[in-house]
Amino acid sequence: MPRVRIRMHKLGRYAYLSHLDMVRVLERAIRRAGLRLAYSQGFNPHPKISFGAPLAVGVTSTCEVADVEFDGSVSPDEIINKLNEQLPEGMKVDKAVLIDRRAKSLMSEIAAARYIIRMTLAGPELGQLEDSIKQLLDRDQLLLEKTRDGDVKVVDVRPYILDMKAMAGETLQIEACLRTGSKGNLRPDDLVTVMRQYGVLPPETIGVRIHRIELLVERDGRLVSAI
Amino acid sequence: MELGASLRQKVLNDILPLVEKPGRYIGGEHNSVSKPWDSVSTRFLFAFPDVYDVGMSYLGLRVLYHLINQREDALCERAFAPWPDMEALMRSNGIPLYSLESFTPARRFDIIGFTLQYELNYTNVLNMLDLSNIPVRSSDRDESHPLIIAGGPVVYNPEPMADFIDAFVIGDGEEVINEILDMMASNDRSRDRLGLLKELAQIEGVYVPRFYDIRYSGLSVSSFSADAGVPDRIVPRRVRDLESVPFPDEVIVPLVDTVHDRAMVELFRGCTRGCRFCQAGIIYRPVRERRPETVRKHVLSQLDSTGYNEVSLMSLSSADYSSIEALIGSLAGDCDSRKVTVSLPSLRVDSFSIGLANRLQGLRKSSITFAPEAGTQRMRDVINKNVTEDDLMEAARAAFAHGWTTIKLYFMIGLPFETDEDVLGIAELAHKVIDQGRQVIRDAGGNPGRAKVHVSVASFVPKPHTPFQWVRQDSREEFERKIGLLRRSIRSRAIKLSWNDPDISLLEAALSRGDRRVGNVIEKAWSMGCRFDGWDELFEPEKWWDAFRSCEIDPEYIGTTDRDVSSTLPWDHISTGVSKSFLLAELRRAERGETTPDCRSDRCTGCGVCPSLEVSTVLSTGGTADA
Repeated sequence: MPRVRIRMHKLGRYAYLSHLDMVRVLERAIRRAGLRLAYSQGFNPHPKISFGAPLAVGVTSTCEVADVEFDGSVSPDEIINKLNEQLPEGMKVDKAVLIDRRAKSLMSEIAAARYIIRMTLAGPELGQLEDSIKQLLDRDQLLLEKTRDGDVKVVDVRPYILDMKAMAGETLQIEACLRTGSKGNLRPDDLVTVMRQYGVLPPETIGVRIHRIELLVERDGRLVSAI
Repeated sequence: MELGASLRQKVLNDILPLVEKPGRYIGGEHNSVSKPWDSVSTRFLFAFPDVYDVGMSYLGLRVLYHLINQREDALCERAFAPWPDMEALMRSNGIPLYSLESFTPARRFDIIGFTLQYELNYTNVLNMLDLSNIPVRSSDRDESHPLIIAGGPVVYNPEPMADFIDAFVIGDGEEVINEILDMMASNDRSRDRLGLLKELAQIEGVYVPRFYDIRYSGLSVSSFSADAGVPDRIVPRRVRDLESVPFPDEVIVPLVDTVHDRAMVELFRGCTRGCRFCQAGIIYRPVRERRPETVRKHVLSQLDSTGYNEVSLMSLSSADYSSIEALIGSLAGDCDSRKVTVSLPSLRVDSFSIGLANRLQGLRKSSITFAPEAGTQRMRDVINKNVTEDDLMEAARAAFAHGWTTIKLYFMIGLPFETDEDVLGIAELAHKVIDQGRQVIRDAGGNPGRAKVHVSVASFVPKPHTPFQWVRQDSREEFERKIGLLRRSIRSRAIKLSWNDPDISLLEAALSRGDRRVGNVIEKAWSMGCRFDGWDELFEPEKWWDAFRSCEIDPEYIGTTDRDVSSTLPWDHISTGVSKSFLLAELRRAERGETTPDCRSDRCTGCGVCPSLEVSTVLSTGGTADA
């Protein structure tokens, strides 16, 4: 039963699909493509598809990574070709690689993710943004209030920002690499909150769009791409 | 920029980040059809007056969408009612109702076709028209507006919506929709709307209310006149043989979760069991089955083209399909190897049905539902629900023995000729089922405490075109008293009782048995903010009662008054094919507690549908009941 890691993109309107929607879409595309999925044993067999690091609804991505187990032999090229015949424009598979069946699960391996945060309106000047990001990263701690199950908790999220820089583009944008997974997690929308809180972004900044470009795993102490 | 493209960009960028469940509003599903706008002469918008998740579960949408898009000269796109959060943002941003395929404003279509499945969707129809910048009243529309048509089961009493809909389409839609599109293709509709409507009214099954002058006295019709050149009585459309009409395989696969997110193949249409409260049992007569090899072919190709892992074999009573065992047998191998589950909705109350369900569901057993509908044999005879207590006990025994531990039982209260004894009978029956379950589980060496029964009680709504159309509905106080009676008589903690809000049933009765004057109330309620009235969390009964008051119409009078059997009822000009004398005879038999057999297995009951609509029962085993 080959285990295959695939990378998909999720652009345009498909950003509005949830993590569960993505699993369902992929499962059905695989069935339509005539590829044989492996199913779990038990009363209620479910397909062996697992996406790493679910995105919030509304976030676009060129790096949706999933591990899929197939029943019977299948090649990465065949998977890409057959699935892309079944998937809509905006949600295609860009890469597929065979991985070791005994490899750690994607979920447990993911250590970080890289995002681009774009501001369409009323953002600061580029130079000013570069300075304020530098000041932000120079702080010892960055406190964020998080509410979970009604309890308010203050978390220092500074360790979770691995790198961050301002870039000029069509619009002003920030690229940030954030800790993701069980050993610490910072969501990109929480980073936006922190930036507002510490004055990096003026409160009136609107039209913030988040896009994920890379998922990273930790191997021998180094961060490398998940696929 | 193309209008659709700029609308789409605005919705995707500015609106959807702010709404709940944005996936409802994006389109882009597998098998949705996007034809170039200018490649066809008629553009049809299929409008479903409820949210996407509900509308996409509706089989009729799949059938008509496919049928219209198969035509070279027409296209069909979809629109659903936006949830209030989306509606508010659409209104504040000047976004009109748009189609999911091309983000084209609804107003630009040639025809908007609503399906009316439920009376409590009426305010959503008005709201969707208003969101399209189309006047809600038919009389305020002109040649620049799309034609607004409506079909579905509730249009057998079209009068409450007659002021808002240009033309109703009564009966099966497959053939008549093509006739309407043919007519549209040949008509220069930009010039004369009245002429177009006149021409439309010539098509059998089409009712154009503005050509009919109807006056009322009390609850009945005092005078009725049809304009020259339109029929006095509307004959419903009925497809004679389902094998002759197309059934879709390339159905749209929603991207987000919907209520019934699975493949669906219709086994048959119609049901002649003759339950006297049931409108579907009248308006879809007679039984017309598809052949098992046709069903099998559609199951397999629908699974191929959708990737679904579940298929539902649809009908009003699927265990009644005459080739059911052969069909299930022939599907078993394919479905097993594809890891596909087959489900049969609306199970009969008997051990045969349990046997079927057991074969289909395999190891996945959560709960199983039966609908005895009434608590005593006398009451079940009154409503002609041909289920005995023995049937129910046998079915329950089989279900518990096969491993189900929860049984759901559906009942109605407020049925005609009901006594308190009948209400208490519901509790008694539930206790007997629990005892049965405990016994069976104990005998099998299990823990008897696992047996559970959920009793669900609905307040009866007398529906037009049924034998109970003349009968009064209980008052709110009566419903509440009977629910109280039932609550006090349930002693076991293994029985869970739930009931619906009587206010919903009272409104349903007033809307379903109302006449043309009720249109003012619907418009008033809508203008007061009523939307999604069938949704508990959005239903605001007080607004409705205010709307009735301000229109000087008493909803309780419409609902809770017995009607004179010799009077002309507000829906009498719409035929179902079943004669009024048959309905009356059935009412009399109900009063005497006499049952009527099912004509597919017994003699003809003389309901009149076969001769009047020139149809007959079609069984897949080859027989026709009246041959």
